[in-house]
Amino acid sequence: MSASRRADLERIQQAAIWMARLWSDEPTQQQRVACEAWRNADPDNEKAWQCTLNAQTRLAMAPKNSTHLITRSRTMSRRNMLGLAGFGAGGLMFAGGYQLHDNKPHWAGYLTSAQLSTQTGEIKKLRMHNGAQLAVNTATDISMSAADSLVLNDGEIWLESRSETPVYIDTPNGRITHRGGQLSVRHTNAHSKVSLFSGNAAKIKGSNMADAMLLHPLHKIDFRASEVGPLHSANINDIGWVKGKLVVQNMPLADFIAELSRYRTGMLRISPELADLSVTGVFTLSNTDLILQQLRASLPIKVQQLTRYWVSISAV
Amino acid sequence: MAYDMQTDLSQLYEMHQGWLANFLKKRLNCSHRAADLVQDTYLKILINGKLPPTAYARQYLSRVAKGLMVDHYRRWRIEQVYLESLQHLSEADHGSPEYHLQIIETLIEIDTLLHNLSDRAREAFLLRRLEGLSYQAIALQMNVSVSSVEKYVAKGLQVCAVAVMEHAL
Repeated sequence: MSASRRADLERIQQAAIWMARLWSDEPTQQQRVACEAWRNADPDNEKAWQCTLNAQTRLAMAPKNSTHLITRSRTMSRRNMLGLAGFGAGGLMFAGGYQLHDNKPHWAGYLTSAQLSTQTGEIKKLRMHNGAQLAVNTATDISMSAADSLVLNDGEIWLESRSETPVYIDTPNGRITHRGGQLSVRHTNAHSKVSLFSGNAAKIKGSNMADAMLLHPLHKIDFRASEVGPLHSANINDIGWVKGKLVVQNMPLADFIAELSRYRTGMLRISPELADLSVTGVFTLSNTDLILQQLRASLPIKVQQLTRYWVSISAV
Repeated sequence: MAYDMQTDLSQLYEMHQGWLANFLKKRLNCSHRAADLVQDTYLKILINGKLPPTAYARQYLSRVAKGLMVDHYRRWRIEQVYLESLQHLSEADHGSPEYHLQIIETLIEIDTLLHNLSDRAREAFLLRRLEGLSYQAIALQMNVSVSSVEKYVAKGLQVCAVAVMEHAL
């Protein structure tokens, strides 16, 4: 530890002792004066005092009764948690439109489009009868045509299967044959994008292509009925949504807003001059209003909300 | 950043995700939760932007994963207690899911902040700071002396300030 850091820590400790004294039930005039004197003795003392004071604003958000909740929560046994399903998302996420996967298979036969498809802002997690895990992202139109076949008309899914038995995913552009591992497929704006994160190579065949191509793990590709785009590295950011997060690095604001729009009903308009502002961060998808606030806090933009369904973003 | 980070992370993923999944499966006794945690671990590393030296990759991965397990446990126990407390409220007092999430986030933040305090110091500090109890009342409730309460509160103030100072660095 550097000497200056040690000095900083000691000053903070001093500041905390002074503050605790002044917080007591009846601090004396003498104590007040002594504290003042300590603060005035050195600008670094005053800095430590301000830091200690500022740190307290964080706690201002806490509701009444928090002490009881926090103290009591610390008596809960960890063993109880391990008996529960759904690690990532808790009970309240459920209320926010998330669905936890439980350990028993959800269905023995085929799932209907009504059971699989999602509304705007909804993310579903399901278990398929072959043990594969399926996550369905916002505004996705998907159905099951056979026990091992999914039809993705629009939207995005993530699939993890441990078995090499093929699962077929049909998009309006063609067919993907998945043979185990983690795969995501997105069909939006007439493009089908496939990323394979682990497992065996997946086969991709556009409906107008003569031959299928192989997509190897850690790669991603964009295909249409008769053409494939260049091969890219798979990007884990793209499946942040499986955890309810929108994860972006240096994404142009216009693209970010387009992504965000997928999770939100209504119009999100952005002034063209802002299109290239860069956004980096991890955002929680269950509250897109909060994401807009976070953007406003970090970028030179103003967010005008005419109604809940009409938001326009313009330069400050 | 990013392209290189992405490539390196992909390699890290390719080389160790099977091992990490197994490691976690043994501890959690559940392959699905382990798989979730593997995803979270890589996501966390991606967000941190810190990659381990190759020789320590597994140690690093397991440390990040264990940290996440602590976080999950914290979230879980706070959600449980909070949900339980809601049951005592009437339907009309229930706010929106966003409101509840906000409160839970706040509670988690405070719990994390005060994690290294002793149970007594944490309780005394919170009773003074959040519930506005006098030192006298806290001393009575916790069956300790008023001067101990003052020491506990000072500890709490110190921990918060140090966290803010380190965050600002």
